[in-house]
Amino acid sequence: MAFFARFTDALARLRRAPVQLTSTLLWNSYFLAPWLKNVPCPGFNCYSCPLAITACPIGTLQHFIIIRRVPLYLLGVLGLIGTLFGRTACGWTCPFGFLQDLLYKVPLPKWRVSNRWAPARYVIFALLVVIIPFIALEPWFCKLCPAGALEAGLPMIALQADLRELTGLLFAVKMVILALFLLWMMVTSRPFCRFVCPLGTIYGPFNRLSGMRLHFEESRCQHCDLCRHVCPTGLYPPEEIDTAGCIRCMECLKACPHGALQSCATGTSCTERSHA
Amino acid sequence: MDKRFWVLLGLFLLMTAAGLLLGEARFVFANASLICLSCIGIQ
Ligand code: SF4
Ligand code: SF4
Repeated sequence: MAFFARFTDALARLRRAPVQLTSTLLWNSYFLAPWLKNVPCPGFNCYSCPLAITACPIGTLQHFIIIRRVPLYLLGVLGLIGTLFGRTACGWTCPFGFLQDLLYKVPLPKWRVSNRWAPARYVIFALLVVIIPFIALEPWFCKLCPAGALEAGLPMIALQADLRELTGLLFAVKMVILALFLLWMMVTSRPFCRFVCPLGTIYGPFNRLSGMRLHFEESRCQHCDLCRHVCPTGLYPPEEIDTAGCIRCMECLKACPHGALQSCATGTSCTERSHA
Repeated sequence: MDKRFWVLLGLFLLMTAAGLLLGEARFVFANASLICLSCIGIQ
């Protein structure tokens, strides 16, 4: 377990944007290893993107539901990622999460949306990823997915003239959904992760079970609320750190001047970050 | 040590291994290598 304590502490000392940029480039470097498409991506990244190197876990899950097979390998890999790191992939390696972090920097008036709408992502998961594909035999999350529209729809239409003639109402709907999400991402922090993302929905419950953990040490808290202002998912870290909505970005650990938010590992004592 | 962690780790390792033995990686590859018309917004 010493590994998790060391890993988490090392991660908490890194700047997130360079790690996110590197992973985004890595998951989209098809020319490096085209054979990696048999591996599910830890983040949300459309496999129909001409540059994608790995398989989108949500597209793959729908595919297995449609062909009526239990996806042991896919669920095993996602379960392993969740069991080891919880939702850390959301905060550090997800290309769509990175896009949201970038767009939120656009200087526009901000719109705070309450997390009481967060359970919507469970409904979206159940309906669009499981139930409707099972009944309709079509991947309905993919059909509406804004990441697919951005990473596959637009580049493929630009690259292949013959595909342009096949676009119709669904393409228009997809573009409208994409435009609305891009606008929403500029005014609300991480709206897709908080209210929609099926992959975050799968990883979320692992935050309470994983080897890697984040922890609030009440005796150190001075109630200055600095952590509340940096959380990209709108959580109140003293009460909600490491809940299913926490993407383990560790911004709150960095912001807390009193070491009240700490990284740790399951079954061990927590490590206070040094603020030297 | 958290027992739940080890149980989950073992369970998911077994699932991954079983899936690989059943050849599921080929299904994943084949599906991910097709141009998905749903992703593009066609159909
Ligand atoms: S609670 Fe902390 S680690 Fe979790 S999402 Fe918010 S800022 Fe990031
Ligand atoms: S920044 Fe630290 S001390 Fe301040 S409220 Fe948050 S946890 Fe407590």
